[in-house]
Amino acid sequence: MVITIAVHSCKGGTGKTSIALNLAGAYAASGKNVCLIDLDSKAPSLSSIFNTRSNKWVNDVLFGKCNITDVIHDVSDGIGVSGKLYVGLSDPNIIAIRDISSKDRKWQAKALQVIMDAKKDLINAGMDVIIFDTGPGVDFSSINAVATADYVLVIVKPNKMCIIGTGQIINGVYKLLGKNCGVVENMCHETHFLNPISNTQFGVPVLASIPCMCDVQLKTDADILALNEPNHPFSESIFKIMGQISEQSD
Amino acid sequence: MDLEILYEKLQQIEDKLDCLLQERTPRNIIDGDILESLDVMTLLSLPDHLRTSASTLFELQKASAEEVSNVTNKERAVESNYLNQLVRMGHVDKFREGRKVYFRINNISEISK
Ligand SMILES: Nc1ncnc2c1ncn2[C@@H]1O[C@H](COP(=O)(O)OP(=O)(O)O)[C@@H](O)[C@H]1O
Ligand SMILES: [Mg+2]
Repeated sequence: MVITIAVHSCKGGTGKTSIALNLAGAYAASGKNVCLIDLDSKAPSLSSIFNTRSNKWVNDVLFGKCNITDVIHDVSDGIGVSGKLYVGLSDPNIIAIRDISSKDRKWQAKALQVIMDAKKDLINAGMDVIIFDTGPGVDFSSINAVATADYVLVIVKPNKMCIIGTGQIINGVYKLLGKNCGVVENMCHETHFLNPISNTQFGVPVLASIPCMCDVQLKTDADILALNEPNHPFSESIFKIMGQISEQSD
Repeated sequence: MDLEILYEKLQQIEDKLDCLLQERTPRNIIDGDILESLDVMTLLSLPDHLRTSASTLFELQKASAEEVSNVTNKERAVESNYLNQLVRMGHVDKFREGRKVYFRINNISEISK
C-alpha cells in the first residue's frame, strides 16, 4: 500500500527536513520507490542537498504550469539504495519565494487541489512512499501538505512552547482532518530522557526520542546520514520510525 | 410499490429540483461576492459533519451522494443533505451526467474560464 507522509511541526528548526530526508533514504534503502517533495516553498532547503542543476521546480506544478512527474529527479544513483529515490525541489530563488509567499486564500485553495492531484500522479507513476517536507506552523503551504497526506509525522523539540503548540496542532488540525499521526521528539537533552513525552500525553504514539548530537548538523547538511552511517544513533532512530509507521498503518 | 423504489423516486425528484434551482440562481454568487473554491482553513472551520463530507469529496474528486455516503457511513439521504448544504455555501459544485447527479469540490479555475 502506498503511504504519503507529511513531516510537520508547530515550530521551526525542529529537524523536519533532516528527518524527512533521512526517512526517504531509509525507505529507498529498504527497496521502496520513494518521492521526497519539498513543500516548504517559503524556506526551501532540499535544493542545497541535491545538486540537480534543476530548472524545473515544484513551484511550476503549484502554478499549474506542469505536472509533478515533470519536475522530479531520480537521485538514486550512487547512494546505495535498492529502491529508487526521487526528489521534487522548491525553487530557492528569492524572487520565487517572494512570489509564492504573496499568494492569497483563493490561490491556496487551488494549490490544495493541485497537491492532491500530484499525489495521485505520483502513485500512478509507481511510487510506494511519498514524503512531504513542510514549513512550520499553521500556514496554507504546510496545512495543504498535511491535508493531502495519509500520515503526519510531527516533530517536537522538547521545550514547553513546542509541546503546548504540538498538542494544539494535533487536536486542532490533524485530528480534524482525520489524519493518522506519530510524534518524534528531536534534539532531546540528556536530562529529558528522565522525563520523556509519554504516549498518552497527546493521545498519539511517540515513535522515537532522538538525542541532540552536534555531528548531526554536519552530517545531514550534504548527505543522507541514514545511508552513510546506518549505525549512527540518529540513523537508528530513523529506521525505528520507519518500522513504527508501517506497524501503525497496517 | 416497494418503499425502496418510492424513496429512490423521491430522491430523483429532489435532485432534479436542486438542479433546476441551481440553474436559476447565478452559481457561486451570493451578495455580489464570488465564493471561492474550498481552502484548507475554511475546511478546518466547518462543523464536523460537513468537514467529513468535504474531505471525502476531496479524496473522491467526483462522486454521487451515494458514493460519499459509502465512505462516511451515513444514510444516503443524510449525506445528500450535507452535500447540498456545501453546494449552497459555494464550496461544492453539483452537476448532472446523464441521469446521475454528481458532486465535486468547486474549482475556481473553471468558473473564471
Ligand atoms: N538530533 C539532532 N541533533 C542535533 N542537531 C540536529 C538534530 N536534528 C536536526 N539537527 C540540526 O538542526 C538544524 C535544523 O534542522 P532542520 O532539519 O533544518 O529543521 P527544520 O526543517 O524543522 O527547520 C539543522 O542544522 C540540523 O542538522
Ligand atoms: Mg526544513
